Amino acid sequence: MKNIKVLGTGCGKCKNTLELIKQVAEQEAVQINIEKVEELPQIMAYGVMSTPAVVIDEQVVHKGSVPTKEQIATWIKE
Amino acid sequence: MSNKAPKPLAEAVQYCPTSAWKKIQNEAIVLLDVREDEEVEQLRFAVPYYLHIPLSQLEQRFHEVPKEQSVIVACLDGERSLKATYFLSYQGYQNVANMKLGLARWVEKGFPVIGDPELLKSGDASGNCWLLLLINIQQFSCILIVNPVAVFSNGVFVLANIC
Repeated sequence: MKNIKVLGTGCGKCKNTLELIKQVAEQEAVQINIEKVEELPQIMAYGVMSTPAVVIDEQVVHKGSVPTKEQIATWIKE
Repeated sequence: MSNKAPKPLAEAVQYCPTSAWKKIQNEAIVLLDVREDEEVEQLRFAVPYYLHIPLSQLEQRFHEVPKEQSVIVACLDGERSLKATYFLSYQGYQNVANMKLGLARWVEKGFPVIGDPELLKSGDASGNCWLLLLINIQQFSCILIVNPVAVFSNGVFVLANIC
């Protein structure tokens, strides 16, 4: 099961990203663990300057925008 | 996308403007201003070792920050600079600290700047922090849009609109 983190300090785009990932995982019937990381030191521990960012199994796969459904589907099915 | 494993970061060292100013006077400390260009054009810190890299460019330009010197990072209010401080720590900078409350408090304290500090007090350089006040006195209603920064620093209301 993939462990997914959405990094962001609480903006709308970050919340949308979280919801979109949940939605795609449900559509694709893929089980995931997902959490939102909002504390700055924890976000910066990934060296990410622009949020929202998506981390899958501790690797940054995306940053700076809301990912597309297609991107998310690719990540969670890999 | 890059494969960046997390690097646990210690809590950022932070100085108030007074402590920062004392350190800047006594040591060869670089003050890194991460505000955007248009903000810096209006008003900036007047310190011996001044470096300006907007936060929006820091990821590409952080190599310009000297690693061998202590660095204090500043912005308008200490929020963006805190992010920059953590970013530099992530990049291996060990002597980096954030200036809490930033240029706004620096100006309040009367520390040296280049530019007109009144711009900051009037809210022109302090972001968009406004309050709406609805006033109803003896059937006369009006809406005041006031800048609380100006209210608290000058003791006067800055009226942007009355209707």
